[in-house]
Amino acid sequence: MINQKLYIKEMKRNISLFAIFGGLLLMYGTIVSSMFSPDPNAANWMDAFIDLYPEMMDFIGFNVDNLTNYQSFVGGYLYGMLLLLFGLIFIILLMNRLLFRYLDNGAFVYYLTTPNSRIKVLLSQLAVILTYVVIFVTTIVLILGISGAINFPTYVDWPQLLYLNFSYFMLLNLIVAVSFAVITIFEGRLASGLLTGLNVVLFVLKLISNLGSEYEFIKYLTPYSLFDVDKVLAYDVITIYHNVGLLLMSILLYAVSIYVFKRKDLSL
Amino acid sequence: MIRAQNLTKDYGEGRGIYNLNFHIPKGQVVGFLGPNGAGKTTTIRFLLGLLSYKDSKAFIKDLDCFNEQAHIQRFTGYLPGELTFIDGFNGQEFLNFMAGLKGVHDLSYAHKLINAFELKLNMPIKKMSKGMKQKLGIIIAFMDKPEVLLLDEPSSGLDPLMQQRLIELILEHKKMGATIFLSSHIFEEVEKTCDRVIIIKNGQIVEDDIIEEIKAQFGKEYIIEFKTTKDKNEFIDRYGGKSYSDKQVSFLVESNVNDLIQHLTKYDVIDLSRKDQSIEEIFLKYYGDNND
Repeated sequence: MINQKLYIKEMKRNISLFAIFGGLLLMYGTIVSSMFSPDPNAANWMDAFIDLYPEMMDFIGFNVDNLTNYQSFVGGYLYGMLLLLFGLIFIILLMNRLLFRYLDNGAFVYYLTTPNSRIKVLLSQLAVILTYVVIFVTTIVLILGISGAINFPTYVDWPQLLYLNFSYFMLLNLIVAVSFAVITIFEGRLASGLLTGLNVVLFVLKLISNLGSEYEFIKYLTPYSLFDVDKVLAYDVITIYHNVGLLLMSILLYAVSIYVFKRKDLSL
Repeated sequence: MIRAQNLTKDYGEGRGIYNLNFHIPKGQVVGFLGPNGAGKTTTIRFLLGLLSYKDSKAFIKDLDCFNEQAHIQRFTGYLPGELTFIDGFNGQEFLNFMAGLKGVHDLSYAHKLINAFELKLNMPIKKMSKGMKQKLGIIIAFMDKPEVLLLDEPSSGLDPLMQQRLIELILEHKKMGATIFLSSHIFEEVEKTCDRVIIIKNGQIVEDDIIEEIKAQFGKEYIIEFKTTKDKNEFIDRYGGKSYSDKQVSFLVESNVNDLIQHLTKYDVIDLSRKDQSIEEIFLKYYGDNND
């Protein structure tokens, strides 16, 4: 299915990229975690701030139901926009380093001069990308979990935190699948433009849909709407359908991408 | 060993290859010549399994080049025309990495080639010159002594001494029984190494024969030296030929030389010598009236 040597080599080659994002996650994760306060009075300043700029807070996805719930606090603060943006940039960079660049500059041909089929090489690269996305999500779980457990031991609800990040991973998996499809189906500038352009458009649509009321219909145009932090934290049954939907869309995109790539002409 | 059946890829505006058919038996070394844009690289891409086909087919050892690309690579070495290596490696690391992916455990032959081509591997590939990268590409293509070699302009970027080393390397593998398909613009390389030449122009094969047959087909060229320039000019006016120097004429004979000898009896001739046509001169005939 995948080439182990290639997988290991590519995992090693991208450690430095992950280290940068790991550092960012550590910084933001610990800062946001330390800002949490279980005291309702202490949380008032945040309420006042939200009341002052309600639309801006909606736009960036900072919409916290319960400021004294640790998961709700970090969920609103980080998973509304910041982590979505970090995850998106991380995936675009990985896609670029592990697939687009090789296909665009022709270096991919070197992998095809070894006894490995183009699909095996492709899946090896995809496996590296997905592994790094899993590590990325695991890192933020550990940072938020451990940091919270140290400062507010009784407020960390591990199952809730894990379900939040499982749903977050399902969304990132779909972003990987969309990017993968763009790179494998298209070529050159079109692929490069769509890789960034399409992802940014979907993300901006999500931000606009946060404004609610008259913009609410926009949520149907972006898969980001299938990751609803409040509903995930409330264990709303609809989040199961959301996650299944994200998974099915990802599988469909992976399948179409592989089908097309297997048959396409490679100008290497 | 290598078989192409109606290979066709139309890129539009007359670019591409059209109904290419050839068969290369085991152990034969074939030079694939043609002007830029004639379709050489496209043909090699078919053999590498990079291009899909509908009515066309390409086989190496009776294996379908597109559907069984991975299997074919077990006994095939390839040198790309444009070398773009994977980032972040130095020469030695890349060689080891490729050996690992190819399943080559014994690197002694690779080290022999490194010495022969005087290549220093302990520097980042990014900082290597074109010639150094070319040498690295050659070593990777040849390191597991493959049965089949597909070489796209293998001399590109090499100095004359290294071009000579490459010719020796190709001849060494020819002796080992390798089947070699090489595209080239270096005629000396083709003449010294190849048994057969396929010339492609505008996507179609215009010549496919063993080198000696092609040379014979293009006639015999004679250099005639006259005693005076006046005789030389008069000869050209009456019988044709091209001025070669002040008193010399180059004359092409397509069949036998009796007619030429009869013509020459009317003149004071100092010398008459046969000039072998090189494959370069033959190729330039095709190249000359090329539109691209």
